[in-house]
Amino acid sequence: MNETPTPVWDFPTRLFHWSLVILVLVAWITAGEQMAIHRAAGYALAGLLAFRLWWGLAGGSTARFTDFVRGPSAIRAYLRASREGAAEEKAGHNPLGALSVLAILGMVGLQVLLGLFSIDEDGFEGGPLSDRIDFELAQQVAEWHELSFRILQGLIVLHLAAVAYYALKRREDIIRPMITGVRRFQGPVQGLVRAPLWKFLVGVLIAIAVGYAVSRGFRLG
Amino acid sequence: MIRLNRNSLIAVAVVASLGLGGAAVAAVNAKSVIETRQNNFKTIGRSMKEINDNLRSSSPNMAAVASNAAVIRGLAPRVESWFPRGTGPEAGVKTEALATIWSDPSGFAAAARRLEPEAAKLEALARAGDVAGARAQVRQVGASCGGCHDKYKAD
Repeated sequence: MNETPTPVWDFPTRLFHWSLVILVLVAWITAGEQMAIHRAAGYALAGLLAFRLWWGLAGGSTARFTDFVRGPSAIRAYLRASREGAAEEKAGHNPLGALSVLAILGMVGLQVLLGLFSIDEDGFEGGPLSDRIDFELAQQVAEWHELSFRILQGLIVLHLAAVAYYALKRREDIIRPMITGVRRFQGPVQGLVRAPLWKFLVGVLIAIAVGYAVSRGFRLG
Repeated sequence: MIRLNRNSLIAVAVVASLGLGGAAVAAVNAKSVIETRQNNFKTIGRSMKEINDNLRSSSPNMAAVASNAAVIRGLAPRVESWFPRGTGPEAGVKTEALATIWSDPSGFAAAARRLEPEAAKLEALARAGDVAGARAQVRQVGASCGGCHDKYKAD
């Protein structure tokens, strides 16, 4: 078999992915217990999402939204082709996986947003914007915060199931490429086109600024 | 063999309906006790939030902190009385009160009684206009909420 090692994920995209994993785990474990750490994880996630949005516009080719976000007809065509074993090999997200990316990014964003307004039942531990709304509403938001986390957990389970499907049914390890950045394809595939370092540094600054602003409830100065 | 005449059947029926009625009354009471209790805790939570919202701002309204601390201080000594027997999980009404409240009454009482002195201290600091002191003390008030909830409340 003619397997060509091809770069698919740039370093910032991989860093984003594993930071997201760690921060979501930390937020989950500390929820309702270690609220100072839970809040910090939320602020970091806000910064991380801001970074990902920037990287989706300015990052390496496979991280860009224009590279992987596709409409319903393209998704159907992809599904048809892959059922026939004729799906084109491609570096980056496939049209179906793109939905998973958008759904998880969206739900993490909603999760952070709800957390900002949430308060615990003691009126004691709350997000940085919980003082903008009354106790009853902030408690309601806290319930939505819990509910939306269940939805996020469902999406993560789906994602893991897809990874397992690749490993078991298609004999393709898609975990390693998310660590090393390199994937082996059967034929030659147009690989990742990297973004310059300065764009990554701009992204880091955006992440820090957004994380800080969110932690202050956007009350700066 | 036990022989049941008409009168004893009536007597049995009366006793049984009294029992059922009593159970129904108890259930209604448990429901209203639990609702009142939950409303009281919401009042405490609302006051706590007002206090925290103020203490987190750069120019807290210390009069508002003091008056809300007074609300908590006033309700705190009544907390134990909100948990009569029969108003736990067995009541069949949605409640997060754990059975440990009634199986460990002295532990529960000790935990519940921590709130009043902490709230009173916060009230005094707020009346004295001591922002830094109030910010430190509100953590003690919060800890006394959490100290009781950890052991005696679900979630």
